[in-house]
Amino acid sequence: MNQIILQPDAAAGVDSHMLGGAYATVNFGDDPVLNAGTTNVGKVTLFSRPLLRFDLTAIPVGMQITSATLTLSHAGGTLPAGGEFTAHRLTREDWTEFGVTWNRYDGANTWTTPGGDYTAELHDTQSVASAAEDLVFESLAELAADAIANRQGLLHLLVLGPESGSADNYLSVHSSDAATAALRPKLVVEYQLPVPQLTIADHGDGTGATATISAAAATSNNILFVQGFDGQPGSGPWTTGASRVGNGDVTLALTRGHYFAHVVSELDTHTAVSAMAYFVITDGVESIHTRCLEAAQARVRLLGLEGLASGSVVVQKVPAGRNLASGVGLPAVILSPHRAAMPAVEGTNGRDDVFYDVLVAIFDRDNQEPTLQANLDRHLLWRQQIARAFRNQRLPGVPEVINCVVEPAEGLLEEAWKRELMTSAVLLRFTSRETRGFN
Amino acid sequence: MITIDTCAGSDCAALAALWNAKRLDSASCWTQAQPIDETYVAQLMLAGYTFALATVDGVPSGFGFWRGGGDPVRLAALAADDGEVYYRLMDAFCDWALSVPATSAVSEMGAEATTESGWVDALGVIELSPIGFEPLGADEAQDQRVPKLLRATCDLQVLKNAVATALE
Repeated sequence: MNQIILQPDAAAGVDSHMLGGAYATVNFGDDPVLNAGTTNVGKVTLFSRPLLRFDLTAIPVGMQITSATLTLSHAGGTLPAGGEFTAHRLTREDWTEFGVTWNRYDGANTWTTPGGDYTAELHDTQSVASAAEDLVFESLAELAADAIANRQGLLHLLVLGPESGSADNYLSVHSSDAATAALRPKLVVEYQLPVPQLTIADHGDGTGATATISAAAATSNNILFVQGFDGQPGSGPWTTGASRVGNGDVTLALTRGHYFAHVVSELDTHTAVSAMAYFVITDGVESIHTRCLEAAQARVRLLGLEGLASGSVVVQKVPAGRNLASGVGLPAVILSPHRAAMPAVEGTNGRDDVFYDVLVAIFDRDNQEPTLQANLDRHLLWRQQIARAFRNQRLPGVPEVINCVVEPAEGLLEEAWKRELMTSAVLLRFTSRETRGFN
Repeated sequence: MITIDTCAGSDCAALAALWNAKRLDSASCWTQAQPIDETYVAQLMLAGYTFALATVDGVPSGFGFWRGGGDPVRLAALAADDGEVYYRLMDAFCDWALSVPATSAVSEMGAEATTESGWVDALGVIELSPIGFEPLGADEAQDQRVPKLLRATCDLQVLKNAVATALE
């Protein structure tokens, strides 16, 4: 949160008040007080209205104004029954501090309506119990935002007090010409760069997704970062997916897989970051079991098992009668659907827990007994690491999976034995909680 | 003989008549005031103002009104036909204000020279500072502005002493 405090002195401050009636041609730009309400009853019943201008150009256009509070310190006056005061936006912005009067806004040209041209919209109302209280407008955020967006950063305010009756009924507050600096009009504005929001829609055909940036400042530069997700957050490098100014859509050309993304919004020296979005790029044909296989493959690759090439972690049928996929060298880890989804065994009233089994088998050459001995510890360590990576955890990337049970699998596959391969395997039993009766 | 009645509830009509006469006196500070009737005076009294009507041998000759509610107290108006009546009214104001109690007073008055401003200047104890000016045009220098309205402030005891001296 950023904050700016404006409490200008006589030289920098621009404020005055207007008096009607006999003083409708008198300027009060030097007056150390500003009167609001019914005053100067001595000669004639008059209304007095303060005008103030604040320079908000230090706040970049596009910032979200979270609060704006104007404090006018009391200097005197008479409010027998308290009074209600309202802050309005002056619709004429070329008024001058030493030219403004009830009749004219710059000493030469007349207001459209004597007493100032102002809008009833976007105003704040505050009640003051007595003339011994400060007048504090706490809800000027909209007016401040309007000034920054539409008024060249200048906030022009007019204050109306009680304007009825014939007796004194006004509050006198200190102006920027007050001798005591702490008593001068003070405007405190808090602001921040709007936090962008990110939603991502998968094209569903394997070509990528459309990212929609919203809630960002119109002039902000929004950079979208994407991270491929191999099974664990923070596992891959963040790359710039796209960027654009302001809100809108950008296309992400991504291959099928699991991803995280976020938007960094930049404006001037300010930065805001969206929440992280998780999304999946699909080709429209993935079953839960397939996704379990792919997510498990990504997770195993992420383990970085020593001595195992990432490209040798593959999804395919166990090579019982067929070779490893082309280009896959040994040792290798093969993930294969071990059994079809089983009938539900548990669940809730409307949902079933369904098992999707993935066999994770370690293959290595083993044509000699010494080779087995030499690689025994390494293979057991791989099994241990794989088991720990999945046991009693959800499967990142497959939100349907609520748990994984690791079970022992056959240590020796007959067909592999015939092909002089050493095998060692574990079974990952992923539990998916699925709504009954829906696809 | 000068008589000051500071609770002129029964003299609203006389006070309004004098008010309306002074507003037509171009030499008075009260020139160009709005015309009123006795109802207006009564309303201000109900709102907490204290009125004073000065008569000379039974003829209304000056008036003033003021109100408290804080320190400084505010003198809303003081107009009279001659200096002695003016100072008697000022003395009545001081007595009232000191009994509030208050220590200082404030008032606004036009910057133009009037009969009453001459009597104020003669006291020599009232500080006058301009608060209202002829409005400045785009190319006019700020230091050449013409004052139109003054704020008068003073210590009440100092003022009462000065008034007493003036009445000697």
